[in-house]
Amino acid sequence: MAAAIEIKDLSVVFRARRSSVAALQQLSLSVAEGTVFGFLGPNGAGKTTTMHVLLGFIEFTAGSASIFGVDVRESIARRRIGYLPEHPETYPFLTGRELLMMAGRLFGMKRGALRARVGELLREVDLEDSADRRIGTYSRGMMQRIGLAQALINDPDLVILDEPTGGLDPLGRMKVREIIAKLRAAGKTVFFSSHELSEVELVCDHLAIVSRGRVVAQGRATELVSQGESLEKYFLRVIQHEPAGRVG
Amino acid sequence: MKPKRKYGDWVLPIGAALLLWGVAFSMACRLEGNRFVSVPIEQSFLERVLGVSRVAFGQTFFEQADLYFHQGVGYVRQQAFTNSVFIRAYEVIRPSAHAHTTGYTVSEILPWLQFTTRMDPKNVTAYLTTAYWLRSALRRPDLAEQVLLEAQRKNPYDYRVYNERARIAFQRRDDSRAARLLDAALKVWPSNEDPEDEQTLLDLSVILSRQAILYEMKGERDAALALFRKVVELRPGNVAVARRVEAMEQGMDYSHLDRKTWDILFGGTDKPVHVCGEGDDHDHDHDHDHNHDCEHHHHDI
Amino acid sequence: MMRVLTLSRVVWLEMIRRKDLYVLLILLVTLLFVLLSLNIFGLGGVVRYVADVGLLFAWLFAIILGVSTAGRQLPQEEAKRTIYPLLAKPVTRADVVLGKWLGSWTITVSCTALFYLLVVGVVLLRGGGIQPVTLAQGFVLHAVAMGIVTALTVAISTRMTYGAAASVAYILIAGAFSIASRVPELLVHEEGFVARGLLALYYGLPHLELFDLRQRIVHEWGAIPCRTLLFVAMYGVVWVLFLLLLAWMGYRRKRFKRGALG
Repeated sequence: MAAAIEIKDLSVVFRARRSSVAALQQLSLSVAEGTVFGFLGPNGAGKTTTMHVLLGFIEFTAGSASIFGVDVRESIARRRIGYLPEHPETYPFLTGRELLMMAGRLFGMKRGALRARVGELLREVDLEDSADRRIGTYSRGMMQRIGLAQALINDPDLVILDEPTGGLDPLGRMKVREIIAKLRAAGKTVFFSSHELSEVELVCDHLAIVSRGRVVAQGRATELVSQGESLEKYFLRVIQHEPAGRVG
Repeated sequence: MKPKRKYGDWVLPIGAALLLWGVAFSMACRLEGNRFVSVPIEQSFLERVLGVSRVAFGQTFFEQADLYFHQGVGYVRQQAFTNSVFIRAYEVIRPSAHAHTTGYTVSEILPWLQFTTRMDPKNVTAYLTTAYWLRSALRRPDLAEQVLLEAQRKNPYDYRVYNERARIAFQRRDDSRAARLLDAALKVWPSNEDPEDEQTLLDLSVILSRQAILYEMKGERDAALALFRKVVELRPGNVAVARRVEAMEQGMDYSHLDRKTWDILFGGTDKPVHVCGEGDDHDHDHDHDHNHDCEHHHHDI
Repeated sequence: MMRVLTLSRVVWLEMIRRKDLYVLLILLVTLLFVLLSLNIFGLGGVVRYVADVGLLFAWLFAIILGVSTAGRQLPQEEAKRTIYPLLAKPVTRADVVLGKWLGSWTITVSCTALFYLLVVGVVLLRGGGIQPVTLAQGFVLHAVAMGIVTALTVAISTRMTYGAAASVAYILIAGAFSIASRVPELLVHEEGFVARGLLALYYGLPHLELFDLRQRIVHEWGAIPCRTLLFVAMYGVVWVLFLLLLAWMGYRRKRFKRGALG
């Protein structure tokens, strides 16, 4: 299977005035197409930094990263990506429909096809009735759903989700799981990070655990986690065995 | 849900900054009060709030009136260099010919003069300028009188206001009132001005000349002559008045001159106004500037 | 181009729905109404001061609108973290800078056009007139000047918060109007370090006084030659391009802060 994401020996060093911090240290990762990949780690491990490198927000110091074979530094690499950030803030003065139309226009989608796609997504995330209200009036859950909808506007082949179920009630989390399952069924690749290990367990095929800027465990979920052991226990075991020490 | 913002996030800070600046400016301009004021003058709300800083505003508006009079052409100041492309471009863009507003267009400067007097009622020059344009270019002596009455209310001890009111009274053929106003002007002269200043002395000579003219018109030659002599004493360089005194001492009587000529004489310019005398050739050319109404007066003396 | 236009449309929607510009419109209308209601000795046809003050405030309000709109865009995207989903699309940082500038400039110019219409309307109502060609020239140059103002503010805002960017922009614009144009006069009495500083300002700041045709409009001096209009407009365009280039250079490698919303 071809790789949707290929990361080799990726290093990212942030330089401050008097010190430098190695956010990622020779991180290597491969995400096959058509899989749901869980990217786990404690706070500050480098999950969001990795995602930001993939999305071209920050430059890496060494190594390589590509999406569907295209270097992440090319803007064309983002044509096939959809992204939902950890705290999906958006423009409060836009309506939900206007936000999705804007997102689609940025992908160069034609007006007719875009309108149909917007309608479809609004139904999918249950925001049809609130589509013409300003986003500033939306609840936390509605913001998350509209953020997810804008991430899917271009029918991306790779969906990157940063804490997609954060702050959602059980119904909202179920909705997100359903959407991820639909994406998998459609052959899309989903790459997401989450602290909700129970959610990860339910949806992921593959996972990687990152700690202190490097991958400490990677593989199929069923292979990594022993029979009878929960993902949470496995996660804690792996993290606690990591040698202590200051990075950078 | 985010709370709606009530104001744009710059309106309050800019408004607060402007208000604080205004307060600071007014406080910084607090100076000693007018030493001439012995009668409490009613102050408007604006005057109380702005204090003496309103003088600065008034001056700005007065300069704006001057700019309007010159049709937007400002003063040309000395420059260290002129060969910059920006200067050359700006020379084409800004109005630059020497021009004056004329005719009814003069009314365009009046708003700024009105703002000046509103802001700084002690600026008598602004009142006089307003009255001058209303009277002359706009031919509204009634409005000019109104302006001067306001000036008198705000500046009851300024001789210039009485002097100018006297001119209007004379033009309206109210000679007795003109005489009273000239007396009042003389009483309060030099007001707040320096009595040795050239302009103040010139104004005094104008007041005295006008009083003399009024006496002459009534046939009181001796009183008129005494006043003209005082004028010559004050301003020995005044050729016209000196010649007048000489002529009167030789027995010349001007009381028969027509009203139009008296109007010109009362006008108060220093330009020698030619009046036909005994030895003059009736076909001679009048010496005048190109704006003068070329009316040839025949006087049987 | 579509991406740039899409981003500029978002700026428009924000400004129309934020109501800031309505405040300025109301202020201008109020001011013009006050000026209209002044009784100048009952004399009719006195309008130049209305045009003068009206156009002065049109300039002031346009600058306020331009700086506040342009200065807010990039810092707000970063503070609200909307920059992330934006750049996750095939949108380059140059697109973002250009789109934000274009939106800020076009809305400022549109509002300026409204301000001009208001002033002209009031002048005509009062029985006066304005030379249309001179007015059109004045508006065109005003629009170019607003291009410089918004581009300058966007450039500064790539590296500062909104408040700081707006403050610096106002200072530079005030300096360009009040000091840069008068440097040749000031240099008559200065030398040494001060003179060199003044010369640096003279050549370093945009000469915004070239774009101000108010005196010609108000006092009916007629249109400026086409050649001069073109030269000044091109000068303005060069400044806009330069400032946008600076903005892009300041933004292209910027690392965005994560953390609490600013």
